[in-house]
Amino acid sequence: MKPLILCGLILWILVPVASAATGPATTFSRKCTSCHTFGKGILVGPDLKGVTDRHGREWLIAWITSSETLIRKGDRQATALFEKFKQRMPDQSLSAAEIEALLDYFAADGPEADARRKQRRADTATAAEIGAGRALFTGERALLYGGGSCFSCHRLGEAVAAGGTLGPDLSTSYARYQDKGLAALLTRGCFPRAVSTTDAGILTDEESFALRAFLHHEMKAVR
Amino acid sequence: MSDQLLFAVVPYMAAALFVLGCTARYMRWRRPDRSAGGLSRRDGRSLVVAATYSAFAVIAGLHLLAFAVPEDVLLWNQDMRRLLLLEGAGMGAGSVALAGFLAMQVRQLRAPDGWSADSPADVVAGTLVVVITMAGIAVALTYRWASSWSAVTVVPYVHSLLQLHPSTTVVARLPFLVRLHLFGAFALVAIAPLTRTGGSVLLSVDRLLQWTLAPLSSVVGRAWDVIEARSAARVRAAYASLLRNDHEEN
Repeated sequence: MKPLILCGLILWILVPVASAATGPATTFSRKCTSCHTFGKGILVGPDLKGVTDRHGREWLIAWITSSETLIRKGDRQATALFEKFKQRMPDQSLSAAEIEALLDYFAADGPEADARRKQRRADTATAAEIGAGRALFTGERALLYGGGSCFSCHRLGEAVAAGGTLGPDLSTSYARYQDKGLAALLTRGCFPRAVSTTDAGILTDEESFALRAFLHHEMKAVR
Repeated sequence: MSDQLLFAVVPYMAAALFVLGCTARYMRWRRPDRSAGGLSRRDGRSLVVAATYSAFAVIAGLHLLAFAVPEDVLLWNQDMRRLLLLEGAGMGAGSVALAGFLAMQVRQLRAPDGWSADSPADVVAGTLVVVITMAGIAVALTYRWASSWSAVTVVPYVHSLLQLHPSTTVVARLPFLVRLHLFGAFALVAIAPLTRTGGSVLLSVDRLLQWTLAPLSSVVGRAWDVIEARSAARVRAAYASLLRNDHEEN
């Protein structure tokens, strides 16, 4: 019995905590955008818009995993890219699932859709999006990347009067910051994380928009 | 600068003092005796003392839970009833602990040897416990839903301390009461090994270590005996060989 407890204790200490996988939008912004654009032409490497049409899926997975291996093998497409851009793409430490998600994201023109969503004004939100914003604000729906809901620290006038009192009442936040300012604030997060546990951001673009939509809706309701 | 000192340097100083204090006290006793500290027989019978220590145990458990599984605490708090239950439990335990602790102190001061029974470390630690508990209750009342917001503010800070990359960006933006609660906790950690309760905890840890490491120590002990026997045999053989060489040269 005692050795079992001891072994359990040692195992508990040694077993590493599994790290959370990141979404394709975050992977794209963190791993790809320093060398690639999506629909804005060549940067250091080729434009990634339509990349899933130009190359096969298996080839793309092999290329992203290790471009050097493909070039050494003398792969025709890999060699052509290497000769055109005069450098090879660094090997990426992404899991197979992350690469698959990234390719699906490219195939669905994800970066352009996200950019459109970022520029979208909160007053164009549907009732469902406002409802989603409310659920996110109150914490009824958890944020994709984890973290606390707005409700933990903030109230929102009469609509969410039971909210926390660590931060200010957010009833006038939309009027003060408008879409652009709020989007920037929500990207950064209210409290900077002391140590990032994942590569993920604070909110997804969809969550950010839903929250802005809810704040805008409540501001209008008060007026 | 003061934030860096208070929340990036002081925690490690407190940890170092804690380790030094525990080691020094343990080495001095060798085997901590039962009279080292803790509840006296008279105290043990009191309902107030039992309730106070239980309340402190509940508070410690809730804090440990918040630090160990912050994401799960946030998930738990998604439901308003569960949030109220958790906050209520913390608030209730805090109030019982504070009232009970103050009652214990008053009773002790009224005793014939009340003023001289405690060491200076016990007095300082007692004061810190009162300050920390009062600050905790004040935080719960003033800044509600601390179990939720602390998961994204205090917990990442404590994790940064444990990972030896202290980050004070979050703590610097927290209200004074929260910072007082945190700083008081560090000070208490530093002084804890020198207190009566610290002595009794050390005694329990010693017993637990004996209980869990006994099988390991018997294995290590046997292995050590074998190594020692082999080593001694080799030394004897080498010494005999040297003696023979000396005889031959003479």
